[in-house]
Amino acid sequence: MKHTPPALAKRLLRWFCHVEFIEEIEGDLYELFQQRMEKEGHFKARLHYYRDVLDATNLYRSQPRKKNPHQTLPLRDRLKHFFTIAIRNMIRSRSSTAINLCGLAVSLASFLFIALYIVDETTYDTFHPDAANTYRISYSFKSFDGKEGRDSRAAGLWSVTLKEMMPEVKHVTRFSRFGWPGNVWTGNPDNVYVEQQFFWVDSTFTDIFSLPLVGNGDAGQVLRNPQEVIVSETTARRYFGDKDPIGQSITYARDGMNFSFTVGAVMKDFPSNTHFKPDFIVNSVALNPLWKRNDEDRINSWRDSFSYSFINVEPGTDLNKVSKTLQQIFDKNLEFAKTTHPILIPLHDVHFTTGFLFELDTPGDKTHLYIFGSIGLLILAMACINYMNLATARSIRRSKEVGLRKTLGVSKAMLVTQFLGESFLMTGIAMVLAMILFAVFLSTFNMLTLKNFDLLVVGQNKTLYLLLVLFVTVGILAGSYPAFYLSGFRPVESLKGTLVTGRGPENFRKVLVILQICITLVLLTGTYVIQRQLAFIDHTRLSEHKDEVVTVRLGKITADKMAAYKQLAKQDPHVKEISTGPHLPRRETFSNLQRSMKFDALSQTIYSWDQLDGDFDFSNLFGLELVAGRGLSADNPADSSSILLNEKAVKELGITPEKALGLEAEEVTFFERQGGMGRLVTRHKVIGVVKDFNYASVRLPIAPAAIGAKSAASEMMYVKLEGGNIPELIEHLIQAWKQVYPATPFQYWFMDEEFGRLYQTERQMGQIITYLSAVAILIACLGLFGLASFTAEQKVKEIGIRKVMGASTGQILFLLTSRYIKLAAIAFLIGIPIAFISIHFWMETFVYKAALGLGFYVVISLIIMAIVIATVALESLRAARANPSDSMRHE
Amino acid sequence: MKGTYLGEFEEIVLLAVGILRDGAYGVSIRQEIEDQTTRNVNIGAVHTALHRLEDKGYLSSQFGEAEEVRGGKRKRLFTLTATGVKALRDAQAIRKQMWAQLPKILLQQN
Repeated sequence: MKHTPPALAKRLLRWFCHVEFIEEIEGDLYELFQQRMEKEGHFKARLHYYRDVLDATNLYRSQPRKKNPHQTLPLRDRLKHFFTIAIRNMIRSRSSTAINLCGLAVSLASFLFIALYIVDETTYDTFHPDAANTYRISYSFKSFDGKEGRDSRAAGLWSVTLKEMMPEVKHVTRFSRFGWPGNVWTGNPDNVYVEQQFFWVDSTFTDIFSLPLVGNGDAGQVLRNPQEVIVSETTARRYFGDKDPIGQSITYARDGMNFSFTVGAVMKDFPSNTHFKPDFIVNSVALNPLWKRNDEDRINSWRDSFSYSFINVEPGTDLNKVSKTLQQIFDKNLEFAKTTHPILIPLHDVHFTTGFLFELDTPGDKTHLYIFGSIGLLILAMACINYMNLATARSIRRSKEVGLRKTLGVSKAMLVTQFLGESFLMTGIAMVLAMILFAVFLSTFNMLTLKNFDLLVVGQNKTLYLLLVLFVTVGILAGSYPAFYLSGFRPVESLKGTLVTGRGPENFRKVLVILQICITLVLLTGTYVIQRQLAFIDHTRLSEHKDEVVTVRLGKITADKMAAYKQLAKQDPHVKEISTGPHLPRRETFSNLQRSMKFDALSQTIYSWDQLDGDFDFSNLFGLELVAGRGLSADNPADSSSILLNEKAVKELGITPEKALGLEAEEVTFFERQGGMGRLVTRHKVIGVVKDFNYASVRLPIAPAAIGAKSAASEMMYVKLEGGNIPELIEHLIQAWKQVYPATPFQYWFMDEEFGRLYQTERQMGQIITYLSAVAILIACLGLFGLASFTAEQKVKEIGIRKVMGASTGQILFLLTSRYIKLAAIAFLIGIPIAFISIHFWMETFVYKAALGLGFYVVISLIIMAIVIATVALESLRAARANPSDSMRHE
Repeated sequence: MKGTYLGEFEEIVLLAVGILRDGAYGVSIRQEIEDQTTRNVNIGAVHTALHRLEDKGYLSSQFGEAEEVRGGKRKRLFTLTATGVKALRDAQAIRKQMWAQLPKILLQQN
């Protein structure tokens, strides 16, 4: 008969050893026990058994066996398995896969666009060799009325003297963009162009700025020769077509003088992210006859702030010291040194610098970048939220898989890897789709932002890094919560089907939905406000007729020729009014901005007011309304020296419009002469007061202005058209022009284009935000749709029972949608204050604001609510209308 | 390298597993060692060595059939892995190499 080993020892063994060892050891010990039983007898066998058990109870055995690394499947098989399972799952839940891919792809593409835009904006002017140590010399000054102004340029001698005084200043260079308007032609008089980007530079230009040429050659060498011009690639093609541009000649005409140049080299086009983009570069010495007429030297002057001056300093130079030296130079050489102070602006900050006169480009706005960046992140977050929501919502379906895997010994870490891997796979596919979207919409994007990215940016290192970072971040962000949530299931519960998902993920989903609706609300209200403000800008007084007003750039034009032109042009009845005038909308890049006036009858105060000189038809053309007095009339000879004031000006005088009539104003004009300032005094009589109107950007308050009839100073001609065929009318205007001014090109645009440029940043922002909001709404809807369909699916039996008990389709629809309505309501409560605050801050930048009210919050909330209900109902309706016998049959 | 060092007893256990081929489990291994070395071997020591060798990757194991003689418990059957064989070869090579360098006179003394 068999003897059994001592029970106590066996219990000790079972208590101490880990379950994985017990079977083996107990078996071995039993076998030995039986052998000893036969050989050595009962007592000794028992004794040995005790000893062996004690031997076995070492700490090592209380732990589970270590996993043998050689026991898992080879990597190739595991990968194959992973992809098979992942793809099967994607195919099984087609709708949620489609929603995820769509959302992720669209948001990734949007983010990519935004990122490109931001990178481009923040890397302005960085392609110049030592951009980090390059600064522009600008200065602040006080005008006659004591207001502080800032000029982006400097007088020519400042920088040159600075270099002589400070060894730390390695290079200086100056350039000017003289030539608004300058006419350029290539021998053929029919081929006349008006050029805006004609740059007159020092031969030291290449010491600081990069100027790569097409083909071989040294730009510096060409620049030293004042007979030669460097043209940009685009310009060369525009002028000479396919002909070799080198050696061709061009003529630049300005103020009745002609300057001839041969093309010495062709430079590559400047990238889009520089604040100046020359089409022509010539050594400024070439224009000496022009600079040095009237016994002055505008280039090498102490006070004619005429050149954009740049200095390149040794790394680590103390900028305060540079500023101090400049101030010393001012103190020594300038009359107004006490009120004139230098300002050094780092080269790559120039693009974001505002408040300076005569900037070379429309300044960028950093707030816009922040706004775009955060919207990009929000959209990306929304797509990730969708993924999380759908993944956790579908977790029940996969709980059996998790349970089975765990039973087979898959560790939690491996499950996490698997689910994260799936999210990476999804992100990867979405990324490919995003690249396709990117390629498709790139040209639209370029049009919107006025940049010129091409598809090659995708291959650039920075873009590749960005894509990689995006891939990893989105993969982890979207996948981590579902991965940890799913891998945490207990196998017994999930296999038995008694898994209770609990309130956790449910509440998590709710929070995410609220977040999404919140984001949508903020974006939609933002879009609405921006569009309203833009519409408001479009309807300010001056721009009311902008689409009927043709603007023509004038050269030097005499009054009698103008009259002849007016007569010729007005032969067509559709040409309503013609007037000359200053550049409108008013910008500081044009000369004769202001006039200083003194009203002796009132006080000795000198006022500095905007000058809006046109001819006698000016106020008619723009439909200015008179508050008091009369308008300027060509029939009254005295009116050529009379002026109109706007309400602001009268207010500044502190009198009523009626009292202003008949006042005499003394205007003082300064001009520089060799050896000092010239002073010219003229007298004007106020004959009328006009209502205030926005003649400049609505970002600025309406300033006091004086309107005279001094057409000789006009830069523009305005033609107001009414009805008729626009191309025919333009042709008529050109024909008339050629008769009167055969040598001057007819360069025209419609005023709305110019207004478009003035509010370019706002318009861009408005359009970009509109698109982004559309994307955000799309993604939010996709997410809601997915969730709703999931809920409907989950509740299929509940719905069946309710229907059997007599619930109507409407009631069930209400049951399914009400929870989302609740969530939307909560989202509105949170979102409206956020929207309100951000809108408030944005509107602060405008002086004249569109009246907004608060009603639109309600309207937009209702719209979002309608979208939410529609999205959810669409999917719920199917569930609600289903035949209950179908849904309940499989019980 | 730590972990790949083969102790004397471990080497003997490995060899025993190799000799027994398909029938190597705790009791049979102990028996084999006792028979070959005529020294008394503790079953606990055998188990410890076996598990350690498995951790090192020199052995692999799977359960065999349950048997009446074992009280209905299954055997854990051990087999040599490729690395296990290599470890044995290395150990033998080191000995051979060192033996060859031992001065002959020393061997003749005894």
